[in-house]
Amino acid sequence: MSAIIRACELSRWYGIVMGLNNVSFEIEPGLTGLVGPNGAGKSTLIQIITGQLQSSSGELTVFGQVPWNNPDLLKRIGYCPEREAVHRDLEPLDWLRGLALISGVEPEKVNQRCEQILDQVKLPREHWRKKMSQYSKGMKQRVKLAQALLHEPDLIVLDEPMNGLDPMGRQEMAQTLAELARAGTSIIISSHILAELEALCKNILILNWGRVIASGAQREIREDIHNWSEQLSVTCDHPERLARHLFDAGVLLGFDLDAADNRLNIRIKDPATFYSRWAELLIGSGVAVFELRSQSRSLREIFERVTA
Amino acid sequence: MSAESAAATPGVATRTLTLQPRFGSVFRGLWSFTWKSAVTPRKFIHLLLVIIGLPVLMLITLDRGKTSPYLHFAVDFYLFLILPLHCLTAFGAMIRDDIQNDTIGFLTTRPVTRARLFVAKYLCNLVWMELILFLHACLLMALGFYNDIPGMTTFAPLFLLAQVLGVLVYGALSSLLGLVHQRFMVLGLIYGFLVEIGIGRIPTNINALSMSHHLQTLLANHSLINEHYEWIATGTGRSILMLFLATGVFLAAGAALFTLREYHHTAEMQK
Repeated sequence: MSAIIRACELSRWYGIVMGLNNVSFEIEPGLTGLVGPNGAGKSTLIQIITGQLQSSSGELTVFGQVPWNNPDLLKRIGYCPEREAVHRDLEPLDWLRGLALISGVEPEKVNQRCEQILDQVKLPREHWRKKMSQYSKGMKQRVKLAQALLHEPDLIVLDEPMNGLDPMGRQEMAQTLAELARAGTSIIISSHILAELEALCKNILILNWGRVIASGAQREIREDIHNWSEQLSVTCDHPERLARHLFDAGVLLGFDLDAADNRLNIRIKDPATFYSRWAELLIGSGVAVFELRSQSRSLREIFERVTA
Repeated sequence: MSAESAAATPGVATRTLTLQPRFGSVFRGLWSFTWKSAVTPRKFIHLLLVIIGLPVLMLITLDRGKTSPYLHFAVDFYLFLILPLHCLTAFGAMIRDDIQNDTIGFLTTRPVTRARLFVAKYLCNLVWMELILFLHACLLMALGFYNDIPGMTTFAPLFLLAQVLGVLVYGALSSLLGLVHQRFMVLGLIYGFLVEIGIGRIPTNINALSMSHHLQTLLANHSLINEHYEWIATGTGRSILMLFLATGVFLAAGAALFTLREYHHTAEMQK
């Protein structure tokens, strides 16, 4: 699958402060999560992708074109900023109508499009005639998402879109984004809420201190990060015997024994080899296993590990 | 939600819209923001005070039939001080407000050139200010008629023309200053003292740099002005041309600056 975004030795400085430091990566179509702590360079990257900032050196292309001062490309990109700022004195429909006209939506289709898009982001109709100064943070997020979708972009870039949404709102937002992705729209989401990105995004780009720490499919990232021990919890009739057998087989990095619960917590060296030998090791040990739990790494663990 | 499966089937988004960001539609979009933002109850009261404040003051303080005080109010005070300040406030904040309120990203990420956005925004503000100041000027002229100022029938159209041209050129200059720095009011005042008041009074060709000098040349075509001021009407056509030329230069510089500069919240807030 061809990449929609390509960055090659991309750097961006703010005076002496480094925003992005010589990063190269590719982002494929679909849902991609952008993860990193504050100051990691997420917003800088997003602003370069959406044509608001230029790179200091290197190049970033979106759909094969440089975004800076490129209105033709901006037809294909929608942007939802992180901050709460909206035009407080306007009603959402007025604001969206204006933005639709500026974007070049045919005037006769503007009203229909704006109403359709507000329905799509699930802003209740009873709030359409209120000024946005009266809106909650969550409602503003929906209107901001709506303006990003107005001109049917092929790529939507969302900076912390879940901020201010209640759990139900987050779920609805996630559903909306998944529906958009199913319809063929590529989406880049930056967020600090890692669990949501993990559930939502197939691909992840992890940034820290202006560098790309890891990028690609979540599964690949897990596999590509070497020398990480995998943890398993095994409940069996003879945990001591199993521990000795596995240790003798040379597959363990370490273990903890919980004799009271007949539980053995093990850290394994090479998950792929271990799992391929697991049945053989189990039969060889002669123990009866009642439960096996993988303490599979969550994105949070990966993130904490690589940004530590 | 099985978003992972959603992400696994990307393709080309179904497109039902044809985007044609023509200048007219950009103007219409921005115009709706301009007037709807300006007629909120709070702003409307402020606007009303601006429009009727000076005429009421003049009504209270001026004696009927006295031409000189009326002209000092209408020409010196209003046309050459209040009007440029109105323009500086309104046009200077034209882009600056979006930067300060952090809404600039909603505009600069639209599929339209920044130069077009800048010029369209200028025109929206121009139309709005011309309307507001037209009402203002009409009240001043009505006061002239009420006070039996001689020659008002022919002076009023000339005054309105000078005002239209003044808003045009001061607006363009102010919109440029608003882009240059967030303290555009200070920049505007410095410009006013140096160029409009200082250089404008030097009796050589260098006073062509002063926009108020050209407006004075235009107004000097009326006998009422000739009697009270020492302004010369010679070169009125050139003055009008200079006002248009300056407007074009200021707008071109503003459009170029808006196109080339990066405007992002953090950098602006640190200034």
